[in-house]
Amino acid sequence: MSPSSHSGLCGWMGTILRVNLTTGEIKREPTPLDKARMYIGARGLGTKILYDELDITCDPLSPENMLIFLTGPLTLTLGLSSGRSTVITKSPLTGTVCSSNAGGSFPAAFKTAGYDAIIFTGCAEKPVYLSINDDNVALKDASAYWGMTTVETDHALKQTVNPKQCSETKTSCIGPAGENLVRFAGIANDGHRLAARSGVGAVMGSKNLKAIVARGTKGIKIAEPEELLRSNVMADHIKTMELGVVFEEFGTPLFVDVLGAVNAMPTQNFRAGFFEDGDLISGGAMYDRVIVRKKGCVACALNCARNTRLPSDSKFKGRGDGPEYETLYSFGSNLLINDLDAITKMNYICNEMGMDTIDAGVTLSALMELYEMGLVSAEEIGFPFEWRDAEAAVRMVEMIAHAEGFGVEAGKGGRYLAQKYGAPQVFMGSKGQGFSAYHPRAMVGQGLLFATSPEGGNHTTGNTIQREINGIPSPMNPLTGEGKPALVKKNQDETAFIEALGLCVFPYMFLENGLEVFTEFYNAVVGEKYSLAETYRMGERIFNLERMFNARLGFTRKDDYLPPRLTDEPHPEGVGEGNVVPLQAMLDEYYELRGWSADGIPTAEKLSELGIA
Amino acid sequence: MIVFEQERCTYCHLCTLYCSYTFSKGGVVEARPSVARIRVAQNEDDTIYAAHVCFQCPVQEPGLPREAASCLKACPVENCITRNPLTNIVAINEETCIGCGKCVRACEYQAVFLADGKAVKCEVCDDPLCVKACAPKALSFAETDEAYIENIAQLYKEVRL
Repeated sequence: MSPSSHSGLCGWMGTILRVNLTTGEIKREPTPLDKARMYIGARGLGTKILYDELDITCDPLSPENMLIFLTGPLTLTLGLSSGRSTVITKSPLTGTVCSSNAGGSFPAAFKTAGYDAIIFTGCAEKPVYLSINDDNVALKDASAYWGMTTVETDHALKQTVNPKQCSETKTSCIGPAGENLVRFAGIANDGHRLAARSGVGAVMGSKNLKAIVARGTKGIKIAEPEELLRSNVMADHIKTMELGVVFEEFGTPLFVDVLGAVNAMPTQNFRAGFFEDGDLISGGAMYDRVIVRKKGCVACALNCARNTRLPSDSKFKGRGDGPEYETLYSFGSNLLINDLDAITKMNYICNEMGMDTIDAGVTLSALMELYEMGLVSAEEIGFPFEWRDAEAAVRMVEMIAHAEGFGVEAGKGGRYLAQKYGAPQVFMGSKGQGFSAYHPRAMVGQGLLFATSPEGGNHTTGNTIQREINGIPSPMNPLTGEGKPALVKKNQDETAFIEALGLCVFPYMFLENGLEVFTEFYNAVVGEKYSLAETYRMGERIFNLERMFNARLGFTRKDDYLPPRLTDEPHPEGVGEGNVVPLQAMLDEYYELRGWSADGIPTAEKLSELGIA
Repeated sequence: MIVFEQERCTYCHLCTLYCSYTFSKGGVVEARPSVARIRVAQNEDDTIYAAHVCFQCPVQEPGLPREAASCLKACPVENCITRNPLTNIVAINEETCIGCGKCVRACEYQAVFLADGKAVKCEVCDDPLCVKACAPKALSFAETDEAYIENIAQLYKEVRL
């Protein structure tokens, strides 16, 4: 193999698609490379397009909202775990900008068809899907698929569209939850892998867009291929690290043990950080009961996914992907449910109906607490809703997906429910999005991160677990605010850069020098010589642009909020006993480091420094 | 030969991607699965994976004349698909290939592909990147025996692309 001669565009495919669902018009345009140089791709470029073109005051579920699918310049290039696609829109769950990404094999098919982005606007009169076969792009009637689960849709569409090329044909679709506008509905790649968070599936449903079906035969040009081959070495390095070894063995469920040990696995709606039945829902328990085999996203050597199946002696039936750690928390410890079969079943329901397991679980935990407080009755819900009641939980998850009975209300999210029944404090999330599986009282940096995330309680716009829990590159006391504002800023900015490349964030979380490694890969793919300062600045720019999107909608310091349970109620016995999140003090320091006003708004100087108009 | 162990595969397609690096054309290296000579299939339940790669249809019993592979028999062009008598590797001559696809359809193991109008198949690189790339070590560079051929032939017939 010899190095490429830099001929033509490397990394990006060079074309974007614009699909107006109201008129049915499909247009091709060159990828805006001036924007791509500033904002890269995926989360970065998508946010920039949304920021420039959307009437941000629009109702997220109205035809005015835009729904943008993207990959990044490193997607499918071997730049280490590079099989991701991203969805950008204005979230119906939080009212903010959001980015939600997923892996599987759809991103590869979408990118090799020749597109960096597909921008959907408007609303189709009847259900439609977008069919992409390289240059042949068409909107087709999806009435026959409306109502199908994600897995059914995936199978049926492949058979219909490309019966002879099923294995090359990939789908991204919504299930009934997205059709029913559940505010935390997601979009499923390959039927199972969800861009789950922020309600992107509800936006797709509101547009009557059931699916994208893609097949591609084009290539992604790589400027310095020899450099890229190092990704193999990096992957091997990760897999020989202490944490990497167990990650490869157990996938994300290993964190049940890791976070349980430091009192940081949210339990019973965040009252505690340790679930006494954790061993019943751990990675080991999953091997004993449900795991069939290991699986990876396309172009990833880490293989953290798990194919699972409920055993024949279970009262539940089904097979699919997961559950991941986040789901073992959201349907497990968070509800005090120790029945791995029930958790796995709820995971399958969420995947097949196309909705987020995290917000579904956080909504259920808020409802259990409201029920315990006597603010909502069994008559209203339709049945008692106690902690530990796995059958009630499974029933409610199904009702939410199908928008039946009380499920209609619950499908509007935990924040809505908690407000409606007069106890807003029981919703464990920020900006309307439920927290992922990290207890901020036991890792307070994560609390600051959740509070300042552009899309609320999400773990994918940054995650402090690397420093606060795993001690990479060096340990840091997870229980104090000391040094956390700087850590959170660095982590958020670097994560924005990684995600804009079109990569999974996991390798970054393992590496001591993630920014350096991924800057080298970026340069190798696109044939540039960016310095670390420059690529860091790209991440910071993306994060600030997201902040500005929200600021223009009136989001300020008051929205960088954590529930009083985290800031006022002391952590129970164990590691961090008595601890709370010192949010306000951290926010002061954080805003100053970021060059934002005391009210959390980026200053004119900062925006000008970053080149944000 | 490139030897595939089903149990280890994770459907990550790194073999396909690295293979496409090797066979990029026109002086530009591309990540381009559609030119790869190894392709990964899954069964409908998503519980069995099969990296389809040519195992060179070797002779079944030592001492007997070499049996022609289906692709070789199907090719209408003289001296296009040939078997190297020393290495036993079946190769396609890109110059003479007319892209008719008969070999692709003839291979019962789905190990011959059309890429940019030419038939392509694994002709076993000296230092195969697919083997290097395979993170779960499902691929290796080894001699094959009868039991392996029997198993892999069955797998390729069952788990289709």
